[in-house]
Amino acid sequence: MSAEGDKITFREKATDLLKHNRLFVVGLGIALAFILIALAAPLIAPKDPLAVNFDAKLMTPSIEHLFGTDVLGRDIFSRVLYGARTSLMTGLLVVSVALLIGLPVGLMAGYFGGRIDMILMRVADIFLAFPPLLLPIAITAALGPGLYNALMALAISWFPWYARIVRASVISVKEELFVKSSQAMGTHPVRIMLRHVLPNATTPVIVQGSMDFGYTILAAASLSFIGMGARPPTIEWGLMISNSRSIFLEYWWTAFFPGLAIFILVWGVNLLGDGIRDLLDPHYTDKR
Amino acid sequence: MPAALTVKDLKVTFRQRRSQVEAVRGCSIKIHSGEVLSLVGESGSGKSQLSLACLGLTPGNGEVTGSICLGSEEIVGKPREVIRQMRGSAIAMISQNPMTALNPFFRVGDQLCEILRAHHDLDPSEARARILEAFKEVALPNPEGAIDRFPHQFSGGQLQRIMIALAVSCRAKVLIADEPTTALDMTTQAQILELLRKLVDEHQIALLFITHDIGAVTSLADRVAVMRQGEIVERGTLEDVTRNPQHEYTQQLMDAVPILGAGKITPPVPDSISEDGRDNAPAILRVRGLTKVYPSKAGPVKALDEVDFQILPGECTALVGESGSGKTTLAMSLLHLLKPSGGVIRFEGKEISKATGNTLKEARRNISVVFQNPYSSLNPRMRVIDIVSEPLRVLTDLDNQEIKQRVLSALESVGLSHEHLSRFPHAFSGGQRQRIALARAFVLEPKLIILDEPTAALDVSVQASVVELLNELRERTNAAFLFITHDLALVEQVANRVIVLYKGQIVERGPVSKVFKEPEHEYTERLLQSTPRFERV
Repeated sequence: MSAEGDKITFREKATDLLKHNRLFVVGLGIALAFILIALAAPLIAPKDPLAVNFDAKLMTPSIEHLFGTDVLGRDIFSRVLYGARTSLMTGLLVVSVALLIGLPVGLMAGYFGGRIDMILMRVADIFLAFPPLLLPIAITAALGPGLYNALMALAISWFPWYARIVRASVISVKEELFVKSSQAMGTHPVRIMLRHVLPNATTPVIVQGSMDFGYTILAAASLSFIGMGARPPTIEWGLMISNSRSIFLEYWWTAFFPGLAIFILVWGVNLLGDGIRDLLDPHYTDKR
Repeated sequence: MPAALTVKDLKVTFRQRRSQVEAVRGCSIKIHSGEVLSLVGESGSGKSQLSLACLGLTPGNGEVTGSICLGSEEIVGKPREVIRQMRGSAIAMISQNPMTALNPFFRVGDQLCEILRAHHDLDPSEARARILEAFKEVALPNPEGAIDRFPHQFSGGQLQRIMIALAVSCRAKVLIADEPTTALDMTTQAQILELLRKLVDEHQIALLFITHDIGAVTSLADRVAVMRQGEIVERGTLEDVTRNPQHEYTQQLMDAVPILGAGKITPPVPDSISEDGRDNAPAILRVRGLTKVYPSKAGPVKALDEVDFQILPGECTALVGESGSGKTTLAMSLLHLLKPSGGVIRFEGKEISKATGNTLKEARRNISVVFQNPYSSLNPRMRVIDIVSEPLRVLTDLDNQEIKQRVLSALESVGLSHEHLSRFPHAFSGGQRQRIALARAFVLEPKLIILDEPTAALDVSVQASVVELLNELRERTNAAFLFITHDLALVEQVANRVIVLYKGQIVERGPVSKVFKEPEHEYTERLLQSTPRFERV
């Protein structure tokens, strides 16, 4: 870049990414495909995902059953399609609830500093002191197993990360002169936080959130796998794998296809997250 | 004998997605040993790119063509590794900000030794001896002790001396100094320039001195090259260029430079000051015994020590002092952003430093502020209309229609128009941004405006237009200004009176003309002497 550096607009950056960053396009494609699948599951699923048929149990993949059938004779292909709904909702819900708690906590801690910062961050530290999956397990155990309880548990154990990221960027933004100048007018702190600080401090959180999206899906699937998350008849990929635990050495397709779905979705979402980071990064220059 | 540095037909081109940007378009310069060439230009003129090319440090997407010779050695087209070897031995650089040039984790001596030994075949004790010698040469106080200290234990001026010592100990024949004094205080700046001159003479160094500060040029340069949009538009001896500029742009530049005693722009005199300089009206701001103490490990530090002053309606008082003198603490106290440890601030007769509720709101409606850096003082995510209307929304009960009217007239008064209303700050240049900040400060029609170095971040030609705008606004609105600055030449253009702050105390005060003619305090005198000036025909 020259000293002047011509400003790249958001749109230019986006077209640039689409043109030159193959992985971003792949990620975007995967994410869109899964969203589409989730929305259109009832239309494209060839079978009823819940229909039990003992005559057709554990059938190998075929034209009739693309991904085979499970122990109860349910069509795995249809179940995988429906599972996309649960997984996307999981990611969205966990990340947004975690943000909903983490943003205000980080904002207040960073803006006010001092005692408020101390108290809020020490509380957040307590959540960070547990190994990543142990706390959700404990919380779900207390609340009782179930998909929503698992999601809330994940969100609660997730928020301190967002709080910390927001706090860090708030601390640097609040030193900017436009904040000082607004303080000099006597603007109410809440207004300053919402109008001046927050809009300039969210970029790293958005990036982090988009990266975490995949990890949440994985974590929710893990919880389901160990029986703390989704319960039948909810269709969930982790649960599907869990159910085939004892048989998948002989009937590999019962675990393989849901596993593949998790893998592809998480991979795609992570690629997308990388792309979003580039998109929002003011220092992004093209790396052709 | 060839010149120490010869640049011929240098082009630096950057490829970008839409176009190629030619940062430097065919520049030629020549510097002999023992000579100082000053490269003058505003931001974006390509002067820094030219110097980076000489160091072989052009960023990755830039392409360099033409010829750069160090002595008789061509460096354009040489592999980066070879040029890297030459940096620090044949050619060295002094950067703008000495505070960030050294790694805070290591002792300065160790860092300098390492660089020295990378280029010269010296054992550690020889390198240390050479650095010690250089420290003495740059007049660093207590060189033996300094060598084992950490960067944060030095002041900015001392650090810049250390960086110069490094260049000297490397025995560099060519030295590139990119705005070496802009980050320093006025008095320190003068000392550093003096030191550079001495070293150039003694060691026969060829110095390329890059700056936008014409004042600094006059006290150091032998020859001057003026750069604009990647081209050198004028070159010649210092005398010729400053006294008799040929190119239109150079003339503009010279006209725009505030010079002590030039009298090109004069501040308006308000009715509150009578012809013989006496107060003609009651003061709107009275500060008595203002004190601010910061606790520190080494005991309390007095940032402000019993400061008394007053400001009359419509007058401009300049507050002069170097960094650490308490200027900013004073401004922050007046703005209610800092709680003073003691003293009284009366605005229109009412004590405001401890005020709350309506008294405070009333004060805030009448005291506004413009900060130094227009890039940081405007929220990048807000549109101009929202930025300028913010004080109205916070402090008045006007409806949307009235607010828009007020915003429009404020924008017009600073030379912007309704078409700018819905743009974001990044669409504006530095000067325009400062105009937006001014519109925000004036939109409430306040009685006192605190201006914290409002022109320091701007190019000289832009600076002049902002100064004229300020004078015009003050005359029209009759608002009083507290103008914080370190540039005495600027004080003469905007202020009626001046207050000199030194180590938290006011050491001198009075009408500008009187203080500048007969300074009473030794510090004021020093400040005046270090302000570069040149007499023009």
